[in-house]
Amino acid sequence: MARVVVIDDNPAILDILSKVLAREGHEVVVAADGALGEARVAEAPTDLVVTDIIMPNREGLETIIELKRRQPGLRIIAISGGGRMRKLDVLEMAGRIGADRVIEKPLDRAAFLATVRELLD
Amino acid sequence: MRTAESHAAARASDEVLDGLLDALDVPAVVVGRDGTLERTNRAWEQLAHDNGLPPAEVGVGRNYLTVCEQAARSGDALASDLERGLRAVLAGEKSDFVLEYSCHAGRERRWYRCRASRLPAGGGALLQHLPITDVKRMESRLLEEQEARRDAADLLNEAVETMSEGFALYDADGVLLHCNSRYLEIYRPIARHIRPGVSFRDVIRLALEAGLFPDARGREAEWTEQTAERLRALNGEVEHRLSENCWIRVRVRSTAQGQRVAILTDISEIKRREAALRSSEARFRDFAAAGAERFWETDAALRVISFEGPQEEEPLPSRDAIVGRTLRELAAANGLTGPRFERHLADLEAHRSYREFRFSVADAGGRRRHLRASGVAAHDDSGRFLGYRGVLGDETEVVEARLRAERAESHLRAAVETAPYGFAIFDARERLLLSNARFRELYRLEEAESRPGVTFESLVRTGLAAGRYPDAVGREEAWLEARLAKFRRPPGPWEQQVGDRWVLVDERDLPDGGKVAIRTDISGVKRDAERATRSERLQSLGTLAGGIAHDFNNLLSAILGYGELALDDLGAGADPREHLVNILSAGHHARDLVKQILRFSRISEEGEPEPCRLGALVEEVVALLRPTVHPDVRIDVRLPREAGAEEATVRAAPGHLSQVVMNLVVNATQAIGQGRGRVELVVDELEVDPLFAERHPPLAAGPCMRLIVRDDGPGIEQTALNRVFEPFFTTKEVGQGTGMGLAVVHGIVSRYAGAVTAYSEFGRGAEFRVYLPCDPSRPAPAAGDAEVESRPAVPRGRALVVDDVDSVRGAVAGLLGRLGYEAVDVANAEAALERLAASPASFSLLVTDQVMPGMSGQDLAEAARRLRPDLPVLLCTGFGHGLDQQRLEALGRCSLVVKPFTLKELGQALDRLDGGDSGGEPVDQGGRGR
Repeated sequence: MARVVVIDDNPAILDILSKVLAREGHEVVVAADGALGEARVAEAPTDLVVTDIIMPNREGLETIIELKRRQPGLRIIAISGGGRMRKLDVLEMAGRIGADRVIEKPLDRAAFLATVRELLD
Repeated sequence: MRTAESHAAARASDEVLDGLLDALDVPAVVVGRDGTLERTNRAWEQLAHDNGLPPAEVGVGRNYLTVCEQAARSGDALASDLERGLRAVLAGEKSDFVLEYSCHAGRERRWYRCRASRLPAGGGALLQHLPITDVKRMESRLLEEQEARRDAADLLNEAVETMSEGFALYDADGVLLHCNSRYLEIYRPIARHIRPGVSFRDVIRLALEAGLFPDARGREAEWTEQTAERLRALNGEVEHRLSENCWIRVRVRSTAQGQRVAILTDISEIKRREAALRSSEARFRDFAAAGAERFWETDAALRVISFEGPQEEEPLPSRDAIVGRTLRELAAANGLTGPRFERHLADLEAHRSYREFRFSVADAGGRRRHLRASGVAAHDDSGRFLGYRGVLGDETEVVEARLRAERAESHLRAAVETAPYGFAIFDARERLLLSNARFRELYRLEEAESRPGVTFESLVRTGLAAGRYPDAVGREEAWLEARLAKFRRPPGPWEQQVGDRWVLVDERDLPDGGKVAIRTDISGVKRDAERATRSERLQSLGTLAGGIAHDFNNLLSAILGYGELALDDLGAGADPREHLVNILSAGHHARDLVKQILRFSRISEEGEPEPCRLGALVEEVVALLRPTVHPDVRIDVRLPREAGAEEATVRAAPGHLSQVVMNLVVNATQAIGQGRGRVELVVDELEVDPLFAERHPPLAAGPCMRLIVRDDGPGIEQTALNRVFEPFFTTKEVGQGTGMGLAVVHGIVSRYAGAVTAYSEFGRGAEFRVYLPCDPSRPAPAAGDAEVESRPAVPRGRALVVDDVDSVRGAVAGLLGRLGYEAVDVANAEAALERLAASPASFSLLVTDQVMPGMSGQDLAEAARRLRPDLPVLLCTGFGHGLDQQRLEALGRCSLVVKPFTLKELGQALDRLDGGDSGGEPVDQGGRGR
């Protein structure tokens, strides 16, 4: 069992991911933006962070950088539906700045859970 | 006895008497009282005999009176005189009577003096005929001699009188013997003292006393001595000045007898001529000295005999090298050869005068000196050629300056000619000074149609006649008038269609009142702009697609996620309802999203112009854009029309309008960049006044829709602001944008006869305003809308307008003029306060820009209030921020107006002031007055 913090500004995504991860037996904490997410991570020892990239207040990319700065060993999966920034692949960028895995939306549950398991092993 | 004695005595007496008579040589007779001859003497008888008279005629006993009467009757006037005289004597009336007469004795003329003397005691008379021929001859000779002498003296005097010189003759002692009237005339003031007998010394003394010789004044003795000495000399001669312009020459000559003749000549005229000649020479010397030219003279053989000129350190042609040589030699020595010089030398040899013959020679230092010669052929009275007299000028400086100017001008012309744009300069009277080939080519102007001197109007008319301005067809005169107005008050660069080309027209004022006209062929840019518009739309569609994909992926994530959770629930026997509801909800969202995409795809098609509702279109475009914009950036749309009010339409292709909205919003969000921000869109309707329209071609006055897109990003610097609508102008990093976004907006808006303005305060954000004319098929707006415009401009006093941007200041002043104000405009707060301090009471309004270098509008307003506490203030601002609300309220009568404003908005702001509205009305941007 691991502590997983899920950060996304879309409530439906938070709801689905928390349920999927809970069914895997993880302790899931959710946050609606990067800043809240960082606070959740700081509250208790965290094994994995799943974060969206494009969010209000504090973006996923900034959040990834900050989390890795504080806790380099923290595992992070970046998820995104793309768009918004022209000519800019945000997931590729997330990978470059320290996300351990990047997954495109819409999510395939099996692939997502496989990745989570791989990272937590 | 007595008687005897008496007789004897008488006889004796008679004899004595006869003897006495006979003794006389003179013929004599005694005549009795009655004239009877009583006695005659021998001399008488002889005389009678000599005269052929018989004794009986004139002998004793004859009456002499009768003899005389007879002679008188035969015409002898002498006899008549004699008879009368004798009678008078005999009658005792006279004691004697004398008569001289002559008679001819043969050829000889003899003179007699006849004398009748009364004898005492009534004894008759004694008559004698005394021969006086010799005496008469002597007398006659004397008379003749006297006469001859008198004639000679008269002639001499007359001759002396007729002399034009003064003449005086003094004897050896210096005493005046004679002088003529000319002499007296010369000494007029003392003429009455000059008469024979006066001494020369006295004449001189009197003349000096009368002040006749001004040159002697104060040294009379010395002068007199000198004069005397000079005159004593052989052929002595002296000149004296008698008065200012009167001179005499005195010459003194001695005669053989030691007399002295003085001859005085009036030489005033000679002296005057001499003086005139001297003055004339002096004048020419002065002219020569004052000028820079040299004077030369040749003899008849064209040999230079004189060469004079101003002193020069390094004389241009040295004097020695010139004098003594002929002009032909000089030409050859200086290498002045060729047909032109041959012709000139031929002219010289033909003695023709000439002017301004130009040539150049190398001076000693090798420098080229440009000279200009003029010469006059001089002739004497008999027409004989004497030589040339002339001047030689050095115009090197002038020529070199002209050559420099010509070179500079030719460089300029070459530069202008090679410039890739059309170029023309017009003078202050709108006449063409120069144009390049590109200019003529753009307007298809022939050489003759575009030669310097033709007016701008005639150039335009040429184009109009050839139908080169498509938008003028059918309304040429009105178009021409508008075109000329635009030329006279250039509005900045604008686009013009000429034939099948597009030309960017940029006309500017020159300091001398002329205009410089620059033309750029932007046909290519226009085509590029069309392409760029399409490419821009594809790019923005790409942006939209990215945003839509993001939203869609989230919805799909929900559908897939909840679907799998529902399946899990079913497998575990749990109720999947909650998840199925979520799936449906996401599905509905997805359906709406697709509808939106479809609607957008419809409005994003270019299509034909159709009536479009700008507000609705803005809402749809923003709805689609919102997901593509970073969530930190808020996009607010306000359509402040009253609920239920029908929005006016504009006639345009919807795709074009959506492009405008999209580009402006994308531009705004990109300006905000990273971090929080706000983009505000406002759509409203307003009436454009003619003044605003004039400054924003091609917008026309009348009802129009306005879209305001405002961001609170970093703003745009003034220099960049002027260029934001230029194609490919961008402040973004390379790769961040095409730089065509705003140019495309400008192109589309212009196409629909609208206008777009940009306003920014650096550091505070930017605002773009798009004005599009309302669809004319729609009914005119309610009469109330035009109220401000139609209000007659009653005089409302003087308004002090302060703005650091000339064009804005001018526009505000113009608008205020329409509203009845007399605008006095100044460029800064300091100048405004000066004007206000000079006459605080003369202003009834202060209109000031808020953002100015130095003092802000609010500061100025406060300072102005200290000078004039009740002065109404209108603050012009781009945003309303930067204003201290509390201070604004403290100001009292103060109103805000947001730039750029229309006449109506300005009128409304002023109405608020008039209404005594306390200032500090909340800054309600864009939507005020509606």
